[in-house]
Amino acid sequence: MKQHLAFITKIKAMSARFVTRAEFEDLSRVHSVDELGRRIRELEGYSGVFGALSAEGAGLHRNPLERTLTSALFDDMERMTAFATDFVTRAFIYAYFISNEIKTLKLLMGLINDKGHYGDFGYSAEEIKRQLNPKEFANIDKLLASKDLGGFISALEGTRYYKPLAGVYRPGVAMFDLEVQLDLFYYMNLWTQRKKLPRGERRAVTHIIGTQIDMRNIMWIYRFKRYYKISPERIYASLIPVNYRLRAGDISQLAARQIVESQDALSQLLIPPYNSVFKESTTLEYDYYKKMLSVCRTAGRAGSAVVSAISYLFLKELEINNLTSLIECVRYGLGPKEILSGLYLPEEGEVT
Amino acid sequence: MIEKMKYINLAGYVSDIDRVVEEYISKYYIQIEPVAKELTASPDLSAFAEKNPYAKLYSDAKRFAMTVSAYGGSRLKMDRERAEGVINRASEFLMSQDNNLSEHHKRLERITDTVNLLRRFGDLRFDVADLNVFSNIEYRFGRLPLNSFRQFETYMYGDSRILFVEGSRDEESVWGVYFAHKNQIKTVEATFLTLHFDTVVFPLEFEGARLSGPLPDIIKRLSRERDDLAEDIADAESWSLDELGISVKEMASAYNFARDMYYCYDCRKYAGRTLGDHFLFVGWMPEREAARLAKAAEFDDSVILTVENEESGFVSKPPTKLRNNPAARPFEFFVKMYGVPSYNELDPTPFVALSYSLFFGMMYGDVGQGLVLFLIGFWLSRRKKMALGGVMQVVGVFSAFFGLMYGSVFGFEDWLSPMWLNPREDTMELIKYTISCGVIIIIISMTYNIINCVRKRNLPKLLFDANGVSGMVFYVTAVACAALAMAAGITAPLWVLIAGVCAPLLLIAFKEPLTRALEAKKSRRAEELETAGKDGAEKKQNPAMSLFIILMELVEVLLGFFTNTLSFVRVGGFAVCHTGLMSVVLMLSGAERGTPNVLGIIIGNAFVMGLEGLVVGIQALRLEFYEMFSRYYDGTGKEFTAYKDLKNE
Repeated sequence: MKQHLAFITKIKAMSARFVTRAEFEDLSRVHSVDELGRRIRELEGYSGVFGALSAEGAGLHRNPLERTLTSALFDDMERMTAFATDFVTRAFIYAYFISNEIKTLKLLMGLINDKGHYGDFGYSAEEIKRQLNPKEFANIDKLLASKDLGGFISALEGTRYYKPLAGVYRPGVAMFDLEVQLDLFYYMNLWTQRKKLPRGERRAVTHIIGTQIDMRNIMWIYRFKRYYKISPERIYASLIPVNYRLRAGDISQLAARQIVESQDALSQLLIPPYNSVFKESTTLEYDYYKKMLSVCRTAGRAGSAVVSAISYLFLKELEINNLTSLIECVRYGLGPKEILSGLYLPEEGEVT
Repeated sequence: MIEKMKYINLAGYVSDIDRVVEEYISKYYIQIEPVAKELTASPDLSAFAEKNPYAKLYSDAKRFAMTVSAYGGSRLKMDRERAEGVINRASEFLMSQDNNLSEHHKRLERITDTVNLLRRFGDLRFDVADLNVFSNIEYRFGRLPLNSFRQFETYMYGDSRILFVEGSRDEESVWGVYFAHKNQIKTVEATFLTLHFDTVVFPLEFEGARLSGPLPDIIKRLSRERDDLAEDIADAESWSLDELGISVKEMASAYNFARDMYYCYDCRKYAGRTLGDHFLFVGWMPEREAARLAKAAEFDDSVILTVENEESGFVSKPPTKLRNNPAARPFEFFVKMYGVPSYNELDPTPFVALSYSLFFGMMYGDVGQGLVLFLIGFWLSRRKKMALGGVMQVVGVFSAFFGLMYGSVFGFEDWLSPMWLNPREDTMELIKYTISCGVIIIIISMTYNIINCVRKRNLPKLLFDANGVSGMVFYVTAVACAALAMAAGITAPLWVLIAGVCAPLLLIAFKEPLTRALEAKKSRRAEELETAGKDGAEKKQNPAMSLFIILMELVEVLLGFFTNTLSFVRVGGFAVCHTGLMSVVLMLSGAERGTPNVLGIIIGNAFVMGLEGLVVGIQALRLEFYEMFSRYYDGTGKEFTAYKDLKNE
C-alpha cells in the first residue's frame, strides 16, 4: 500500500481542483454564453485545456465545448499515470479510462458513417489525436482519412478495437450494433482485467464495476421498454453478459415484461436489489450518478489506488457533464434555480 | 600479416569492356569500387545504364543451382545459344509440370478447406448421416462472436425453443450449431442474426459422395487423404535431370556460363563512362597481385592500367587482406569474429595463435586427449571444411605437449613422469608461472598498442593512454617492484616509485587536458577560432566534479591492471581442474583397484573432452578478447573481397 501513497496523494491534490457547489451556483447566475465561457476558462481544472485553444469567444457550441472539456480528462489521466508506479495498477486504470477513448471512436465512427468525413462541428485532427492514445493508434492519419465504415474498421487494425468490430462488421450493419460491440469489449475487458488486481483491491473494484454494469443493463432495459418496442432478444443482444447482483432470470423476466401504457412506467420496471435506486421524480442519469458515487465512497475507504483513480475519473466525468448542461441551460436563458435542479451536484460528504 | 594494397585504375574502350572484364577482372583478385563514389569531382563521368542481358537466363538457371552444386567435374565449352538451349529446355519442363499438377493442387486446397471447416465442429461427436433424418427440426451451422455467445449463454440459455451446441472455440468466436422447430426457425434465425451469427454451409457431401459416420472419423479419413495427396504431389514434383535428357555436366556448364556472364556484365555498374566512349574501373589489389596484373596488361594496347600507392588519399579506405602461415591461419577466424583489423593496424593473428594455443595447452594438458583433439580437428577441416578444425589441430598439439610436461595421458598420471611439474601437487608453482605468462602477454599487448598508435600517428594515445607508454612504464615498474619485494624482500627506492609509478599514473589521470594541450599546439589557428565556445563549456564544469571523475577513472585503471593480471590465475586453475576431473573418472571406473572398466574410461574421457574442450576453449578466447584485444585492437577494418569471389557467395 505504501508504494501507492504518492499516487493517492496526487489524486487528493487533483481532487482539490473540482468545481465546488458554490462555484456552480455562481456560474448559474451568469447570463450569456460568452461570459460563461470566460468564467470556465478561469476555473483551475480547465485553464490548461482552454489555454491550448485560442481565446476566441465563438466555438462554445455544445459539441466543441463538450469535447474541449473532455480533453481535461485526458490531461488528468496523463498526470495520474505518471504517478502510478506499479504496472497492474496502471494497466487497470487505463482499462477503465478507455471508455473516453471509446466515446471519441463512437463519435468519429458516427460522423464518418453519416457524412463520409470527420470534419464537422470544427472537429480537428489535432483534437482527435489528443483523445486517442498514440501507443494504441499507430496510424491515426489512416483512420481519419477513411471514407466509410468499412475503411474505418480496417484502419483500426492493430488496435484492441479491431477484432470486436471486424467480428460483426458486414456492409449495411447498424451503427448501434457496432457501438454495442465497443461497450461489450469495454466491460468484458474490465471484468477480466480486474482479476489481476491484488485481493484487497479486487473486492472493492469488483463492487464498483459490477454495480456499474448492473446499472447500465437496467438503464438500457428501461430506455428500450419506455421508448422503443423491440423484442426481448434484441434487448439481450445489447446487454453486457455479466450479472453482479442481478439474476439473469430477473433480467429475462424484465425484458419480456409487458408495460401497461396507462400506468407509471418506472414502477412496473423495478427490479431487486436496485428497487430503491431509480425514482420517478429524477432522471435516470441522476439516480445512476447518485448510486455510483455512494458505491465509490464506500469502496474508497480501503485506501486503494485503483479505487481512488476510478472515483476521481468518475467525478471528473460528472463535472464535465454538469458544465456542459450548464452551458446549454444558459444558452436557453434558464434561471439559476432551474439550472441547478437539472445538475447532479454531489453533496460535500459525497466526494471521496 | 596484412597485405600491402595498391589502388588501380583500369581504363579502355567501351567496345572492349567485356573482354577486359573477362580477362582481367574475373581472373585477378581485385576489389572493385564504384567509380561514381570514388571520383565525385569528375562531372563528365556517367554510369552504364543498360539492363543486364543475362538477368533472365541467370534467374532461370538459379532454379537448378542446387542440383549442380555438388558437381565438381570438368565443364563443357558453352556459348550463349547452347546455354540458353539447355536452361530453357529444363525450365519449360518445370513449367509444364507446374501446369499438370495444378489440378492436384486445387484438390489439395479443397480437402484442406473442408478438413479445416469440419475441425471447427470437432467437439460434436455425432454421425453426419443423422443430419438427413430430421423432418421437423431445422439446424444452422456457424460461428458466434465470443461476446455474443456470452450474451446468449447469460440471457437466452433457458429459452426452450433453441438448442445451441458448441463445436469448438478460439480467442474470438464460438463455433457450433443451433436447432429449432421448423415453425419457429424464422424467429430463432432473427434472434441469432441480432447476435451476429455467421452461417456456414456444413459439407454434407464431399466430391459427390455423401459423408456418413462419426464426425471425428470423417476428419481423420480426410486428413489422411490430404496427407497422401500432398505426398503424391511432392513425389511428382521431384525430378532428375536425366528425365530431361540433360546430363549434370551439361547443366553445370550452362549454369556456370549463365552465372559468369551475368557477373561479367554486372561489373559494369561499378564502372564509369567518359564522353569519349572510354570506360574506367577503379579498385584495390594486393601488391603482388597488382604486379602480376601489370605484367599481363603490359603489352595490351587497348587498356591503360595505372597502379597507385595506398596513401594517396582515396575516398575508399584500403581493405584488409590477412596473410599468415598455415599454423596461424585458422586463428584468423577468431580475429574476424571480433572484427577485421584496419589496414594500418598490426595483424594480431600470429600473437593470437601463439597465446591462444599456449593458454589452451596449459589449461588442458593431456597427451592422449590432445592427440584425439588433433585428429578430430583434422577430420573436421578436411571433410567438413570447418574453420574450427584448423584451430583444434593446433591446440591439440599444444595440449599434447603440455600433457608431456604434466605427465598426463587420458588422465593416467602414473604412466609418464612429468617433465616439468604436476599441476595438482605443485599448484602454487604453476600459478606463479601462469601469472608471469600473463604479465608478459599484457606487456606484449601494450607493445602492440604502442605500435598501432605510432602507425596511426595518434600521439596523445601513444603517450598518455593506460595502454600507451605511460601505462607501460607504470606496469613494468609496478610488476618489477612487486616481484622483487616478494622474491628477495628488496624494497624499491623512493625515486623509482615516484618516477616509475606515480608520474605515469598522473599522466594517465590527466590524459584529457594533456591531449587538448597537444592538439592545441598542433593546430593553434583552429583552436583560436573555437576558443570562445570551448572556454565557455569548460567553465561550466565544476572543478570538484571533474577531479572526482579523474580519481574514479584512475581507480578503474589501477583495478583493471590488477584484475587483468590476476585473471591469468584461471590458467593454472583449469590445469588443476583437469587432473581433478580425470581422477574422478578414474575413480568411478575403478582404476585404483587395478582393473579399470575400459568402457567407463572411454565414456569418462569423452565426457571430459567435450566439457573441458568447450569450457577451456571459451576461457582462452575470453582471455584473448578481454585481456588482450581490449588493450590494443580496434577491429574496425573492411575485409578485402575480390570481385571474382562475389559470385560464389
